[in-house]
Amino acid sequence: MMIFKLLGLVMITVSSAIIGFLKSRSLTARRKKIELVYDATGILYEYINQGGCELDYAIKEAFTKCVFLQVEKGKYSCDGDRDLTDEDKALINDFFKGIGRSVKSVECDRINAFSTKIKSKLNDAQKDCEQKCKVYQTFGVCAGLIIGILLI
Amino acid sequence: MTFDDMTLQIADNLKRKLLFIPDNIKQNCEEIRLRTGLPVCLTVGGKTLFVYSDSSVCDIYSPDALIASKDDLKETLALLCKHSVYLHENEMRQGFISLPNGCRAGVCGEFNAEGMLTSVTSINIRIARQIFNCAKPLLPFSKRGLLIAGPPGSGKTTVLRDLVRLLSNDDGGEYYRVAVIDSRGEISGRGTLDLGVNTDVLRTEDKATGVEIALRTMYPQFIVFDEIGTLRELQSVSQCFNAGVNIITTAHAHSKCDLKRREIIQKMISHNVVSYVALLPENIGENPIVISAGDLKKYDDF
Repeated sequence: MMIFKLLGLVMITVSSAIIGFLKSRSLTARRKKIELVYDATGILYEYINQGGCELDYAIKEAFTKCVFLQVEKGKYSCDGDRDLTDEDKALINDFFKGIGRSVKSVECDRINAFSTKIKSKLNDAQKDCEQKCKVYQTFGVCAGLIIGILLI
Repeated sequence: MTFDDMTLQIADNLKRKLLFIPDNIKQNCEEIRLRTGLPVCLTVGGKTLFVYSDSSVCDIYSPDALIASKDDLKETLALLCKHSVYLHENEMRQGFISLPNGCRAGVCGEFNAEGMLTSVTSINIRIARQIFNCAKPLLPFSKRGLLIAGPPGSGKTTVLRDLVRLLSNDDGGEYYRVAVIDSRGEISGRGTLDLGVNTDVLRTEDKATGVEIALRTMYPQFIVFDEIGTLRELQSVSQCFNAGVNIITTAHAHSKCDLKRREIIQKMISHNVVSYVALLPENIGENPIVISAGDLKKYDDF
């Protein structure tokens, strides 16, 4: 009987720890994706500033690592992603909606403006990660233990 | 490039109607004209035809013609530029966008103080065609400088392109070294059109400098470019003549009188830079009239 109780406690603790871990992983994934977008923006700026290639090629090359970016009929969006917040998605989608319609100087200004905003998002995501990830993981384990003890 | 290929770069709204117009119209269509708030027009055999919502065409306008909206023009411009307006910035300042296969879209609308087009109200898409051997009658006259003159739409660039191909490909008696100064990408179609096996293409907006570079670096036997128009270009061309390189170029002119009125052409002929002038007729299919520079000089005290 004791073995089953111990097993139950372990299962509840592990499940709760997994939930805490998944929640913190989501925050980490968000931070990584925003960082990828920020890096890609710098590369895109260089492509457009040099003016040597078409937009589709420039975006494909710059955003190679951003596999969460969907392309449909030449339009880019990240609506399907689960880790980015609605605000993150709106910012990225708006950027892609307007790109490629102006002269080089305006495009470069637009990319710089977007880069500043995404950098700010990255800083927020970084802070979130630092503050909340460990909390979620620890909370997950502790909550699991407490629930297990209470139930058992 | 076929008519259907060109419609892929037009707004969806209009493309759906244009795809179903009669085949004989498509095959002979020279231009597609879009204007904000006005009917979609095609130029076929020099004539203007209006497109209707049921994809029929007629040479008479009526209020139920297919109208291009501001959004249609915006979308068409984005498609023509492949969503990369920044790549065509310099061209748009001059009012055109060069397209693949030698085609060209003229754009006009509102220009800002920096000379940049801020809103487009008209787009004229010219469909280029490569007509093989159309320049064969002019081959014998091309070996000592040739000016191809004609009214707009008479096929000067088409004939010029074919002449380059024939000279480069041994049809002129040997594989001549031909250098093409292609300022708008129309002659070479940015590498998509056949210019022969012995042709060098120099893409630069400044034709005069292009001629000088080609002369210095490519050791050509022929230098070819479209539309001579400035004194600087004439000076470069004179350098070629002095270096023993033959020049083939084009100019706008409706008649011998027109040739006489153009200062650049007068100077080219009086300095013997070209030995012949080929005057293309307005109707494509008729033979060009070839006049020697000597005869032109005698014409009304040229």
